[in-house]
Amino acid sequence: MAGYPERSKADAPKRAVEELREKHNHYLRHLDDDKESLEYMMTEHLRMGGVYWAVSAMSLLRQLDDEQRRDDIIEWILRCRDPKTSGGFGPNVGHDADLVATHYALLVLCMFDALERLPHRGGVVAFIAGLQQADGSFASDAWGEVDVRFAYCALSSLTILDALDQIDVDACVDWILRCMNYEGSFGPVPRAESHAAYVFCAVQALALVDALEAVDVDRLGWWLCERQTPSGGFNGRPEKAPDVCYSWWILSALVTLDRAHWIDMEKLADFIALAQDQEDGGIADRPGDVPDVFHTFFGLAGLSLMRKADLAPIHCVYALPLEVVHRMHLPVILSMYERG
Amino acid sequence: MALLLERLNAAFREDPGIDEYALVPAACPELFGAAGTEDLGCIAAQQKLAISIEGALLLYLHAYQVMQKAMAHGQVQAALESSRAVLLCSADCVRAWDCREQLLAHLDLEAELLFSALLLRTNHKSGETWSQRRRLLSKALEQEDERQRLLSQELALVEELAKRYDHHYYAWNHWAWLDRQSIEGPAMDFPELAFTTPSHYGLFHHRLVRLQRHMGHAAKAAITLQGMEDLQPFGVEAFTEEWNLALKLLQTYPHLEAPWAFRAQLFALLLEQGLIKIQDVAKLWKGEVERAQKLMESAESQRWARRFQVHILQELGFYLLESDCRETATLRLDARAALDELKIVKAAMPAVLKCIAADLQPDGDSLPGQKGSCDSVNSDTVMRTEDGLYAMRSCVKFS
Repeated sequence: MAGYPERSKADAPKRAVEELREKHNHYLRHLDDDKESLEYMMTEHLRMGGVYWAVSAMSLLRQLDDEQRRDDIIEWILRCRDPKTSGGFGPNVGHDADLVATHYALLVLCMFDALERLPHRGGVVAFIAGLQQADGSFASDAWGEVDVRFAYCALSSLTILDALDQIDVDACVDWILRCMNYEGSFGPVPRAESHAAYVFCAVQALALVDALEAVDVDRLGWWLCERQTPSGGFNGRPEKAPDVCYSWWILSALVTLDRAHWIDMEKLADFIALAQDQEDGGIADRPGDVPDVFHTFFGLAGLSLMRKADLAPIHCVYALPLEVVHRMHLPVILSMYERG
Repeated sequence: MALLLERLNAAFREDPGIDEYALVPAACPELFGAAGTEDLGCIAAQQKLAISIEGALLLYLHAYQVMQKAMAHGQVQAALESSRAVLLCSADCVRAWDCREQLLAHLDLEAELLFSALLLRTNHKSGETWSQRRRLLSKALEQEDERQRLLSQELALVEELAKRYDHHYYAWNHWAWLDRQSIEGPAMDFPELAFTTPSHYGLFHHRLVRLQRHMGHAAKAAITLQGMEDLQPFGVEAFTEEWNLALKLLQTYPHLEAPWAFRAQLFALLLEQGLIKIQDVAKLWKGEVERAQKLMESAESQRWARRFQVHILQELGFYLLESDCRETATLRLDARAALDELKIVKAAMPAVLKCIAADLQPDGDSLPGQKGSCDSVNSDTVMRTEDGLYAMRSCVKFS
């Protein structure tokens, strides 16, 4: 396993991010200023994800220092707990619980060092464990549609809560491996077309339970590398346009597979830097587009993984700042993250 | 805003067959009247519905509250109407889908499928709408006498959406789901789209999956019925069809990635499954390399053609690792020479080429007959494709 990369000496993309640091910070702090807009209303069901992306991005910028905001967010998260379940969280207050929102809620509580504020951990564990299906897969909610994302969310959440023994891990691993395709890559369900975001979920889920040996690392690594386009940015599958979000999905999977050195990091960093909004801060899906919180987080996370800017290091499996993983004494998963 | 919700409900009562809608600025005089007149909020005509963007914000807020209240008080009609309005404004709102799911017993399945299709035409990337559609269809398909009609109708919707948006991930995965639903009945046709444009890699993926499944089923059936000795090659016809399609697309669209990827995967399948006799592997590989070199007309086609050569060389490397008989010594040398050329033109990242080089390293320099000998293969069956004849093995490795 290659060691954690040192910060790059290449200064062009780094300078661009450094120069815009204050603007990114300002952009993230004012995301919810316009609560009356149609856009804000229409993303109500994504609010927990939005909070995770914003808090993580601020954490990478080392700007998570507003105590009042911290308390407000923790209180809001606790209000998102769905009383109709044993302890699942919904994506917003009054929404039904699902696994993805529950995972995001846990990640934000971890970043705020507030996991002890969770009133009944056992209830959260029971909610997650209850979503495992007979074939080992996980559904996101009571309606039962399964997807490899949910397997990752379940394994990550239960690792954080130290409760993996509450589910059938072997069955889950077997099901994830059924999502592997002929080119060594993964789709959301068995036989579905491979997609880089689902590769992230599958690879990191398998890494969490030390089951990566079934993956053909070179074959999958190459499929991921081939997603790098001449612009430097990654696409998620053949013939698609590059998108900043894959800077995280793909690069983090390559780091876990120890194949990150197969891609051109300078070009990827340039692509992300060009997608920044020079005027108002934030990062878009690709250069010239309007920024959003989702791509702002994934752009910064990609740069953090590559050590291309003065950002807090991020853990490629948990998608949490490395400092949080160490502070909480979570399993480091990859030897490169061991301290000392 | 109760008025706008009521106006919307009236529009659906008047025309339950509304099949398309859009959120449009209120300042659109063609729809909502001249500037300065009252914003009507929504207007419907000829099965089309327009909701003003300004009205949508207020409609969403009001309908969401009505929905929550109606669910709390068991008011079915109000819950169904308000959740419909919420979804027209925000198709991924899980809370609204949950309401409708809970009230499924009160819904007409056919009408709900129409509503879901209406949403998909505007919100084709709404994962929640696709997910809900599969739940609805699962129920609807339980009616045996309606099955074929529903499947055909669904296939038409998939094609319609895939035609509007290239590389439609959701649409093609939905097609694959439908294909699995029809596993007991006649096989579903592949959409015509496959023959007119290659910009749908998802479709090729599902063709490969189905080809593998078909060959696997045929192999198992043959083993059960006839015993290993009498096995006839199977799946050759299905494979040839795909192989020929890939060739046709490649010759027409060499500047696109999907046909190259499709052809490379078929090549891999041919070798991985041991479908082809070892003495024809060299001929097949060299033919593919030769064609790729001829198809490098533009910078884009050159990029994909070179990558394709790396792909098939990697597959050849895997194959040679497992097939060690007297023919492979020469082939291995040829493969190493091809690798050297690909290194010079930087056809892939150095690390990738290094891995292939490792696979092509001589293993005790391939002592003749040391490992599985190709002499043990006997078959006189031939795969006749548009670009050549290849001797097929009678024993295929299906796990």
